[in-house]
Parts: sequence; structure tokens; C-alpha cells
Amino acid sequence: MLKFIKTLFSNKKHQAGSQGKDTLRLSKSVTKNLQFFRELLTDDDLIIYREFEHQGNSALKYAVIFVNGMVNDETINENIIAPLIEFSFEVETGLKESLLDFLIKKILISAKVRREKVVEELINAVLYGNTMLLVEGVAEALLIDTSEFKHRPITEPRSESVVRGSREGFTESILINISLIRRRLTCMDLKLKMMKIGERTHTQVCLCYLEGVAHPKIVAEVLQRLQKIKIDAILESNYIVELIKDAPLSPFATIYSTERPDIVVANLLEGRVALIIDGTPFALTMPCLFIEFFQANEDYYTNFLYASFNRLLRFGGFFLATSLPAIYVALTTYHQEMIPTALLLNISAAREGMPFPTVIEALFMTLIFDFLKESGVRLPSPIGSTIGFVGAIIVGQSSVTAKMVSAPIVIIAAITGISNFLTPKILGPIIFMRLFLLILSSILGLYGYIFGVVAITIHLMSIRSFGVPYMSPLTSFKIQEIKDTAFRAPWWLMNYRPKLIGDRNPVRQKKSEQQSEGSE
Amino acid sequence: MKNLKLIFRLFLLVFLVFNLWGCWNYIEINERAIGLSLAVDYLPDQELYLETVEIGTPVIIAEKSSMESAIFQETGKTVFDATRNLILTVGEKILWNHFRVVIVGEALLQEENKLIGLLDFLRRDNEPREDLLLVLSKEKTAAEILEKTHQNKGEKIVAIHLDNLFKNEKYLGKYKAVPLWEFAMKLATSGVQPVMPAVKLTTYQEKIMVIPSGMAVFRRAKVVGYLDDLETKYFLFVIDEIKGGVIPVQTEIQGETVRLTLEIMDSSTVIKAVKQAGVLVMQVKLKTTVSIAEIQTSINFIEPKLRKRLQEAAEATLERRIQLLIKKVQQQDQSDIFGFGMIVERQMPKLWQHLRANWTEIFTDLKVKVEVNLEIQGSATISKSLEVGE
Repeated sequence: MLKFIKTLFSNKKHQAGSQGKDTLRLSKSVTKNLQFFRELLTDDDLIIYREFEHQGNSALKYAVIFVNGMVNDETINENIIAPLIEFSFEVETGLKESLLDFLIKKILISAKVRREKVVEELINAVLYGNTMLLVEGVAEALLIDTSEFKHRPITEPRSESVVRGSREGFTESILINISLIRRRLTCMDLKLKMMKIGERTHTQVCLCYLEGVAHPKIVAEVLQRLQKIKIDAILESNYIVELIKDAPLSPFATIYSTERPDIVVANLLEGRVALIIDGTPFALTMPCLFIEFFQANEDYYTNFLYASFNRLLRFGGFFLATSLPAIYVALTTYHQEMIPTALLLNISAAREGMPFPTVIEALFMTLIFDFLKESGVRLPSPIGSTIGFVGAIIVGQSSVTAKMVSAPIVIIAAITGISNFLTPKILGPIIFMRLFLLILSSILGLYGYIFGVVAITIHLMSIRSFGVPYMSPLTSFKIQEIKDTAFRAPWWLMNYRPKLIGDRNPVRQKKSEQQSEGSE
Repeated sequence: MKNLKLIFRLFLLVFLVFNLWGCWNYIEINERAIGLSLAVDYLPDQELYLETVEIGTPVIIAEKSSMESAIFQETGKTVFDATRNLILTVGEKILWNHFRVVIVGEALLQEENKLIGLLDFLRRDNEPREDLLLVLSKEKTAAEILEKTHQNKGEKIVAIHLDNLFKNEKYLGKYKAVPLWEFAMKLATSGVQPVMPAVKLTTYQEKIMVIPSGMAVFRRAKVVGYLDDLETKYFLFVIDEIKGGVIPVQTEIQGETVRLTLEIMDSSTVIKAVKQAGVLVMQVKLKTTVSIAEIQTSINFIEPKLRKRLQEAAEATLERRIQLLIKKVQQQDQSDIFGFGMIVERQMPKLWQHLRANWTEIFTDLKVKVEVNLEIQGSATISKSLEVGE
């Protein structure tokens, strides 16, 4: 069975590779070339082929090919066609080879022009908004960047809004995204490597890192993994995440994704590598550690005490979201002696005459919460609020009054659901952990719960992200390494970058003179 | 093949986990009756144990649920037999984890083994807690305590009432909570005898209430006497367990009999066993800090001279009271509830080997010296006594 699937996949790869267009060549005649491209790009009515020649000298024949709607027509009219029609020159025999260079240097008014022979490259460029200029007598073409397409303005990202901090978020255009990063990080160590991934989409991907800070081995590893990708389409950054991430079966993310340029820059400065992908506002940074899901960018923009308090809240929320239903079920069905008497009496009163066992109630209510959440996510906000209303009143209140579920479980489900959102980036893993622990503790009580926690801990401890242990700073005993974990140390104490990632250039800030004097 | 091996190993791992879980005990809360207090009596003519249990029962009126309690009664040949028989009347198995109080009937104390049987069951069973409180009923039967209080309509749960009562002992110092483990420990240790708080019923405005009524003094597993409220307080002084309460003092100052109350802030007692002229003497040294809580005169005690007089008077009162108590216990009850034997064992282990066998007789004639060191720390929020103007 496995073999069969393997052969299936390998066949597909073969088909994709055997289309080899690079054997095709351009000819010296404009008319022939146009014919050639017309045949190649058949049934695509949006491609415009425009033939023209110099007003006086009909020996100077040209043609432009571009895609309607993806180019700026004015640029083509005024900067390409107009000068070529008006500007006359003698075609000398010796000039023919360097004719294109002559055009680039003296006639074409454009910042981005390049020569290209490869047909596949030419077509891809045209499809991305470039204009191809064919010249009579030359078996080569010029690619002039005339691309202009509409993009979303830079807005505050909806998934990561802040009270204090930059309100800029990435857009779908890779160039704008890179500009957002570069504006924050104007230093020559910032390296940006462009590449294209996706055999059909040719999605532009930009690999960013800070030379001298990022570990070259990590950069090389990322590059190597990217080069191995042979998928036909990259529509969102998660395609890349799943293709290159460590621990591919684990629900835990080992690559961080964000919509915010300030987070990307902060991660670059700690020695991480970032990937910006065209067509999605979600950039990726790696290596990614577990602790990153508890660190919000706002932690670094507000008072460190307040930020540390928020950190602790997030850890508490994580604990509640994963464990509360499990512990409730374990205590009420196995360890009644551990509940304070008054509370036990209340729970007992609430559970009187309930038709379902506590486990079923817990599963049902937490799942209902997930249903409500999932149904509300993609709905327009007016309907979304209806969902909230239905969830709160009908499901919450009525199920208790109708004696379908007991009141404590509704409270438990609500607390669990709310504490989910303290760490919004690991909603997925939390749901799995919660179910896993809930089922275990319903079979074995606290004993099962502890086993579940042990299993999850072993799993988390075994993961690595690009060679860096996933739990690394949490397991350290050194002050400099744990300064940014459960607490966020004030900036004047954060003298070093995270050890395992930014070790190449460990000093973030030199200790100020005052401090060093004080320590002496 | 490899996969099969892996699956087998995983199966083994999971299977082992299931074997190691110990007591698998899945219970839905509403399937068990939550027991709160238990009254145990013995019916000698029928040779049956009579158990009365207080069960927490939810009362649901128009969506609002509250907790009340109901009592059930059943008999059995042994304590555990009666306990299981309770299912006949309760209808559900009783959850023992949350028992707060066990009320012991006097009939149970006629024979030593009856009480021992009860204690053994409570400690042997895995559900009851070691810290549940033991209480002796001064009424005819222990069941009466539960039955009569349940005649009041809309009363709170007796177990919780008693539990709160014993939690607040530190403000009064007239009774002492004795958890199961402490009673059992003292029963098992030679050189100390157990005590148990007693409760009785009282009626106020046709409402029947349970109130504490001193302590029962045990010799082995038998009651030999009682301490009243005041004696209990001085008993607590000796065993260094007084945490609060008041000392009323009466003294003569300037030809006037003055009554005032001192509040105990802190007290520590050190007992030493010493040999004086070949005779074993217990030295009980009290170091007590008090503050003036109430003065029934306008004499100003903030003056150092008067304060000194007051201090001496209080010291003398305390000393005399404690001496009286010890004498009474020595001669009437002949039971070493103070744990003097344990102190001798600790401080003079060799001597203890000789005394151990007939410690009860030795205790009766033991010489005890009491020394009180009282410090008046302050006078609460006013310094001068209330002056009465003309």
C-alpha cells in the first residue's frame, strides 16, 4: 500500500519535471517570436501583443508583450513605446549584438530592465507584470518592470492587535513587507535572499537574517529545506511550515508565524531567520521555542512589572485551558475527598438528577464552546454576535435550567474557553492537550492526568526546532537565560541574546559604565 | 514486522499503566450520599450498635439549590455492619471522606473494646479522615444530639456547626478539638492519657442547640471524670495549647474589690522533670502575655505600681487555679492527661524505665510546681480607664 502511494507520488513529480521548456529558443525575427509566444500562451486572452516600428525607419521593428491589468499602461506608452517610435538611429552591423544594451542605456526610461534569453523566465516575468520587449534581429528579449497591481493598504493586523506598539501589519505584497522590515532594521547586516517556490505559482519567498547574529548553520539548514520543496503551489505560509517544520506530526508549532513586522524584526535581532512569503501577510520566523507563545510583543513595550504579571497570567491561562476540565472530572469522580466539603455539597446539589456522567458533560460543554468559537470565526460580525448570544443564553443557561448539564460544568467550560484566548497562538495544541488529559483523567483520575502531563512533557522536551531544543530557556537555571521566560526582565538587564539562538553575537547591549562600576 | 513489534511494545506500556492504578474508584458525586456527622451508640440489651448519620441533602427550590441535612438511623452487630446497614435507610452508599464529627455515645464507653472497635474502624477504613473530630455526648445517647437539633426547622447542618465551633476554640479556650489521630495517638502512648470534648444540648427560645461542655478525662479507653469549662482552660495552659481566651481576675486595690478581664495574647509552657532531694518534681513554667481587655472600675492601671499589683494578682490566680486542677486530676481521675509521663520519658529515659510499670500510682502523688510569669503587654486601644464624672 505504502509502495503504491510512493509510486503515485513519484510519477507526479516526473510529469511535472518533463515539461522542460528551457530547450525552446527565441528567433531573431520579431514576427516569428510573436507567433511563437502566441502558440505557447494560447487561450489566454488577457495577454496583449503589440507590434510597432520606428516612424521613419521600418527596419527597426519592435514588439511588446504584457498582461492586461497587471501593468501600468502609461509607463509602457510613455517610457517604452514612445521613445522607441520617436528615437531614430542607424543599425550598424557591429551594433546588432549590443543593440539591447544600447536600448537599455539610451532609450528605455525605466529603473528595472534586464536581458533574458530563457523562454520560461520570460513568460514567468510577463505573467508577474513585466513587459517583454522583442527587437528585430536579436534572439533575446528585454524585461522591463512595469508591474502595477492593487494591494491592500498597511493596516493593523486583526489577529494581533495591541494597545501600545506599532499598528503596522504585513500585507499580501512581499515588497511592501520587506520594506516594513527594512525600515525598522536599517543596517547592512540584514541579508535578504529572494527565491521562488512552487512549480506553478512561482511564489516569491524572501529569506531574511542578520549576518553575524544568526547562526550560519541554521540559515544553511533553512535554505536547504526550502530548496527541497517541490510542491506546485504555495498559497499561504503554512504550506511552507508543514513542508519544512521539525516534528511534522506534532500539534505544536515549531515555526512561529506573525503578521507584525516588529515581531519579525525582534526575532531577527535575536538571531532567528525569517521567511516572508508573497501573497500572505503571515511571515515565518524560526527556530521557534515553546516560550514564544507566551511572549507578546506588547510585553516589551510596557512596564516590565506589568508585563511579567501578564506573562504569569498567560501561564495560568495555559494551565487552566489544558487542565481545568480534566482536574474537575478527576476530582469529582475519583477524588471526592480532595474537594472542600462546602464545594462538594454545592456540586452534589447541582448534579442531583443529572442524566449524564460528569465526563460526558465536560466533553460536551467544552466541545460546544469549540463549536461556538469555530462558527463565529468566519462569520461577518453581525451574525457573529448572534452566535455569542445563542451560546451564552441558549446553551449556557437553558442547558442548566433544563437539567441537561450541571451548572459547575458550564462554569468550567466557560473558564476553560476564556483562558484559551490568553495564548491565542497555541489554540490548536491546547485543544488536543485538553481532550487528551480529559480522557485520561476520566479513565484513571488524577493518576491518569499526571500520566498525561508526563507524556506531554516528554513530547515537548523531545522536540527541536532547527536544532534548538523546543523548551530550551524554560529548562535553564541561568539568570541570563531565564530573564525572558516567566518574567520579563527590564531592558537594562537584558544584556545578552538568547543563548542557543543568538550565541554568534551574544552581547545585545554592553553593560553601561555605571553598572560595571557598581559591580566592581 | 517492525510495526507489529512497536505496536506490541506500546500495548505493553499502556497495559502496565492500567495495572498500576491501585484502587480504581469511579463514582459520580450524586450517586453517593455525603455523610457529614455520625453518632454511634450501643444498645446493651440488644447487643447492637445504633448509628445515626447526618447526610447532606440538596434542596432545590425554583432553580436555587441549597444544602440541608437529613438524619438516618440503623443498627448493626458491629460498627461496620451498622454502617453498611445504613444503605437500607439512606438508599445510597455513604461517602465517608467528608465526615467532620463522630459523636460517641456514653453507652459505648461502658466497655473498653467498644470504643476501640469504633476507633479501629474509623482508622482502618480508607475513606474517613484522620482529622475528623471526636466528640462525647453528655446526653443519654449520641443519637439525641442529632435527632433533637434536627427538630428545629431550617437549621443549619450540625456537623458544620460543630466543626466551626471547634475551629473557633482559640478565641475561647474552654474546650479543645480532639481529632481522631490525636486521640488514637494518646491512647496508644504510655505516659499520656487522652481527653475528648463533650457536648450537650441546650434550649434557647425553643431552639435546641449543641454546645460544648468541658472535656472528658479518659484512663485508657474509659471515661473517669470530666473537666468543666474553666478547668479545661487551665488544662490547656498546662499542655501548652491555649491560643486565646480570657482570664477573669479579682483583686483588692485601695480597699476596693476590683474585677477585670485579661485577654490572653500568647502563652508558652515549658514542663521540666527534675529531681529535687531524690524526689521527682514536675516544674511547669508558664510564660504568658496578656492585655487588659476590660476593667470594672475607674482606677487607672496604667500606673506602673498598680500594674505590678495587677500582674501579681493575676499570676497568683493563675497559679492557684492550675495547682487546683492538677491536684484534682491527680487525685480524683488518676489519669495523666497532661502527658507528664511522656516528659519524664523524654528527659529522664533511664528513670522512666523504672517508673513506667506503675506510672498511674506515681502520677497520683507526683509533686508539681507551677510558676507563672505573666506580662501585661498593653491595654488595647485606651490607656486610661473610663472615668465617671460627677
